[in-house]
Amino acid sequence: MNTTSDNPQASTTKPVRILVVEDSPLNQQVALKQLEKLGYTADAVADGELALEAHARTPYDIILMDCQMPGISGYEATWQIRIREQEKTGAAEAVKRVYIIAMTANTQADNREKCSSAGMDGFINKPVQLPELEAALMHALADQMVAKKMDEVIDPVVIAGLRQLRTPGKPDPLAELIDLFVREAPTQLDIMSDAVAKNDMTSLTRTISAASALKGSAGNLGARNLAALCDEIEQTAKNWILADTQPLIERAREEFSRVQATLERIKKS
Amino acid sequence: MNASNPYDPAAIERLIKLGGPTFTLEMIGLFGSYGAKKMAAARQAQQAGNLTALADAAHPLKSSAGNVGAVRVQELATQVEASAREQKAELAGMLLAELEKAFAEAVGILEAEKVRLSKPTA
Repeated sequence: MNTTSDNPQASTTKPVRILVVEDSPLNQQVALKQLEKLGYTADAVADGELALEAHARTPYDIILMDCQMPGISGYEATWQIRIREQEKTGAAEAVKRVYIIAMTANTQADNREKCSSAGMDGFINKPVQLPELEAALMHALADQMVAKKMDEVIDPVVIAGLRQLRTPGKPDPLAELIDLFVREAPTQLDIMSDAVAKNDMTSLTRTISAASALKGSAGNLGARNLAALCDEIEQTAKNWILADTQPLIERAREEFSRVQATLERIKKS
Repeated sequence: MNASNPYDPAAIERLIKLGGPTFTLEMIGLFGSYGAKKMAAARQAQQAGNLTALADAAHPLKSSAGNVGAVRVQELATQVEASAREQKAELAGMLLAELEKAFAEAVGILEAEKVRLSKPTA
């Protein structure tokens, strides 16, 4: 395996793990030098089989993948990496989703379609030029930051589990569940606010009931912070401290806005 | 870049800017050795009538040639790959002969670049 890590600038490089998969030694060396110039260290391998081995060993953040290589092609290697990631979803040692950028000498639309179908996230044309490479890496890192922020709001393992319930030709159960949740959650929050304002025994029961229902539906979609807030509302109401629940309900409303925005993004992806 | 210009000197300047003269010399060397290997594989595939192998041999030449500015090689490798994938054996064979000529010419031009790059700067 070739690497840029033995270069003298290694101590100042960015903490992003990159793998270059490219069978042409010339293109491979140019890509490594370009990455070094941009401040990244990277490993490099020459075919899809070695890429799969490297991916199993190292949790790379980004893979720059040549599409056509002898043996296992870039398309097939990507496909196998995505299967590996899916299989390990929810496992004790879950594999994080690596951002894969196709390096393609074929710019036709159908080729890009093939890259997307295989599970690649971005594309750059070969021969790779420094500004295009920099832009693709920035895009990959921004995408991963958004993903990280989304993970803080919605548990990705829960979403991955719901995605597996999809059946070809039938409505997407994840989308249906999201729609139902987004429709019903504001009503539950309103019930809690109204009940707390009335401050009587019936209201107390209604608050507990609404908080419990929202906790359940939020938990089903992996909205763990919202579920935790609803649990807190439920416990506070059960202890007859209705006055303390109002600020919690406001926090739950704010969290719901984040959850709603994240779920809409998930639905589109 | 038009087809009459077989070489784009800007590519070598980009390599120099990227990694300096020593790195550029190495890349030119790699183009010569890797390219020769792929040219031999392409000819062997063509003689065996294996158009898939011919396309696979021509494919990596495209971007490798692009990296050192061998524009004509890049263009012809693209055409050889396309015609081989379309199972146009006769056309692929004719284009391969042109590609071999263009490759030899590119290696010659790049040898001159190597001499220029090897000269100590004043």
